Amino acid sequence: MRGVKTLWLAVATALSLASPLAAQEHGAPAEASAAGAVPGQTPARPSDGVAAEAIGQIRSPYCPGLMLEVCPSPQAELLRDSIRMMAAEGRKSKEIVEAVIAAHGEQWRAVPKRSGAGAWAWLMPPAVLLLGLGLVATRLRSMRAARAALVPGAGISDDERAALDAALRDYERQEAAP
Amino acid sequence: MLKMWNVLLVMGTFLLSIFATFLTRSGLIESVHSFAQNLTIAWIFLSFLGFLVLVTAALVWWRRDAFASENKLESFLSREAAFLLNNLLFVAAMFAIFWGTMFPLISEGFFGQKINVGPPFYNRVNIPIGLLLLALLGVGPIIAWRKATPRNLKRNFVAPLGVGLATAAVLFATGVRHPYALLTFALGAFTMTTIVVELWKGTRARASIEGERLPVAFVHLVQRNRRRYGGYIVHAGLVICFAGFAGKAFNVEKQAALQPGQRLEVRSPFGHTYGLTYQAMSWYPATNMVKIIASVEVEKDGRRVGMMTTEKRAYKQREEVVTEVGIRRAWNEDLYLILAGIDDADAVVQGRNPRPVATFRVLVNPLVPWIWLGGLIMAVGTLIALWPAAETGRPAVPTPRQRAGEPAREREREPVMVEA
Repeated sequence: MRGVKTLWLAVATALSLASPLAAQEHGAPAEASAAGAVPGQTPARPSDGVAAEAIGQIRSPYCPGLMLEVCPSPQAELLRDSIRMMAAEGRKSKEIVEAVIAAHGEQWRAVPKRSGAGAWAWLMPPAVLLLGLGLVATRLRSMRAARAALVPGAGISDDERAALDAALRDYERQEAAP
Repeated sequence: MLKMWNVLLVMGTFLLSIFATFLTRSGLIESVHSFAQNLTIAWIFLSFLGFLVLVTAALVWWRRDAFASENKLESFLSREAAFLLNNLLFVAAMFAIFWGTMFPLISEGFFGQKINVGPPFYNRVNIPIGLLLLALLGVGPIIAWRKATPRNLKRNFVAPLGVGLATAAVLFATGVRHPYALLTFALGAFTMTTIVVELWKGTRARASIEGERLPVAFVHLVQRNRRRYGGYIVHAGLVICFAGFAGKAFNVEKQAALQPGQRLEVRSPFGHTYGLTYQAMSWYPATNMVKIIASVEVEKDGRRVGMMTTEKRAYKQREEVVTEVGIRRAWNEDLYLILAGIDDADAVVQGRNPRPVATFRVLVNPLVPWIWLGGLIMAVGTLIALWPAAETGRPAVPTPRQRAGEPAREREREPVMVEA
């Protein structure tokens, strides 16, 4: 009964955290006003997402150190418009990025390629993490071996472990009893 | 335990902050924060950094015996291993940022081509690491010390895992498909469940033992072990921050060119409809700049809620134009208004055209305010954890000398919570 109450409390807490976003998901089209629909207003289209994805992968040639999506320069706005036009023509984000990089230069690419020299950018961080995990695993094994070698017979036998587990189960049963 | 880790991480943080100063002051890295290239400053900072590395390494070597751990790692399924994995993940995230920052220089040196790295790289590499940290936030506090038994794992993790999976299932069923958002909310629900269950168990036990009402028992529980329960509150704040980060998956953006009097509508992920009506453009000179301000009336779900302004600032000396964003905050989302462009801004300043066509970009950023809320909760939890014990004036974390000098019965004890 106690476990059920705990579970209920936990579920209620978690769902209250998750419920706000049950309303609508990213990608739902924004609507133009029926009363004030005007020329120049473009409702959100799938190509807008493609354009945004492409813009997000390019550094601005007009603002040193800034991404194209946040550069306030008028030339940057023109470049963003041209990217939106390419997306509206049906081009994919990867094609658009390559077209812009070909026109302006490789130095404006914000996401390294996954081939050639750029692959090293992607490989090193997970390699370092795996190396760290490997070192910890190796150290753990050596600590266990050192402990067993230091005190011969220090490890408990399977029978002793089974007896210990049974004793722990009895203890927990007593703890859980009202 | 992990004393050497702590010391090395503290030193690493300090050395990296000096290194970052070196990078910006020398101008080696192209950045909005960097100065012009200056090799003299670069050599001075590099020498200082080298000196610091030698001194810190010498200090660590000299005191290495003091950092030896009394406890040993016995199993990967243990709280000690969770702490260690936590440290490894933070170091991996730190390395990813360091590697991305230095990669243009490294690629130019080794491969002869300068390969730049922008925000998408850091997001793609660090988001999975962040999600692992979020999961550990829930595992670490409740997994057993030394070695977790199957019984311990089952007792402590079945309910939180169930809640996490249920959360993911509910969100998926309601149309959420972004994988990272799903994972974040599921892991957040898992971690929050572990926190809530721990708080509940402690409060209930104290209420039962001391005969107190639940709210009073909760306050006394926190007072008796501020470090532990303050830590839980910090973790809860961090979970809320992560939920705020995940809101980016649901951002809505719309752009339109408007004449004064025309209206733009945007629908937020929470189902609200914002109507923005462009009212007027004005300008005035300020110190070192000319400001051009667009005023927009805002409606939310058909009801007028106020005005927003967004500006273009033209700095005279730098010949630079900067955009100031208008922001409207609610508890669950931010509305951003950006003046993306003005049709003939000169005509506005010269008074020839006070009603120009203006291009507005509107963004709805859901759950961003939760990042601030989570930070506030973390600050409160930190204060609680650091607050000194009221009874004897001792700090919440007694020093080793204090712990050694106390008889066992005088040490703070919590209501019994046996961990298998």
